[in-house]
Amino acid sequence: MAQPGKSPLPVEGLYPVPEEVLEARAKALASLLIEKGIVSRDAIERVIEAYERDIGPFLGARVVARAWVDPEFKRRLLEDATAACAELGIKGLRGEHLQCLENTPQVHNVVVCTLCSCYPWAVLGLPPEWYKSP
Amino acid sequence: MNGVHDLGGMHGLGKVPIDPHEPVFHAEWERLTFALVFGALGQRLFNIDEFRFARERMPPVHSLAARYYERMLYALELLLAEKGVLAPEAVETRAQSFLESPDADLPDRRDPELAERLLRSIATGIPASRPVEVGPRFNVGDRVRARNVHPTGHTRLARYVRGKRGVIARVYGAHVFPDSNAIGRGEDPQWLYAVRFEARELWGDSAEPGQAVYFDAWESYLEPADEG
Repeated sequence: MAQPGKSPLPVEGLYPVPEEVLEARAKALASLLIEKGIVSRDAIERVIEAYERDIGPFLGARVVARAWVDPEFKRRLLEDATAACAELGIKGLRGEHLQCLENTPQVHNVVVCTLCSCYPWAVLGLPPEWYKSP
Repeated sequence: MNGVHDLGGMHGLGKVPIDPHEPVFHAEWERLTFALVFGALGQRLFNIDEFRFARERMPPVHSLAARYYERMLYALELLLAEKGVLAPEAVETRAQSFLESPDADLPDRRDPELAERLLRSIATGIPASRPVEVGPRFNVGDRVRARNVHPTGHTRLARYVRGKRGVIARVYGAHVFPDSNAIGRGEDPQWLYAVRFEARELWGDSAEPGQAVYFDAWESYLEPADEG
């Protein structure tokens, strides 16, 4: 893997980095961090499980559906989205400061991060490919 | 830093890839990388701003060729070395051994208390808002200009708004200042605003009609529009 500060050239043959190299490096870091007690097998498994099973765009869909049928909830959602989502138990990491915007026939909102692909994990899960590539 | 991570306004990056049946992770190394970053952040080995700055320091050609979790993996490895958690030689040796024995298993060390604590951090989150003594310098409706500065460290002030004029649209409260927190200079909380920039101000004659960009800016990124 290239080191920071070194010239990015020559490039040919370096990128893309082969899958087996990425696999080996990820496993190297994992095994060393497990040995140091910084992470553990069950911690790794449970974090992955949370984001593959429990947290995803279906949470945001629940919020929107609730706003469709409950005008009082919709009012609270537009006023303080963090608190309104928490009413449904939807809160936490990368959802600490939520802002809800309403599309209308005149106004369409597109939310994007052009720097680091940051994303509201708590309501939508991890970002899809189209959001984070390149 | 003026790096390739700052993509706003760039052309030529190809089609937006859309797969309606996309899995959360495409490979085991993506799963592992995500969980390790999560664990390292949860164990406070580094903060989110240091992590973003580490991704920005990836060599530019590699960064553009890499996938999202590959950029994470790179940044994780870099920070673990810089923070003295893992020696680069130890990582190199271990990576070599996994390359030679790809099916070798990870150590079977379990720690239910640690797993529980990390899981709880998903529910509690890591808020970036902070109390500050001083009030905001700007109010909704104030005309401001994004400073034309080119910091070599971490910044959230994207290039495409620098020097441009906008109007304060929201005052969010004070938040951790990433430029400072990314380089170990403390949280230095500042007021955070949403600034509305008209598309014409940003893109000139190329702007589509009726568009505007709301850009989140920390107070020190902004100056009153009439100052120079």
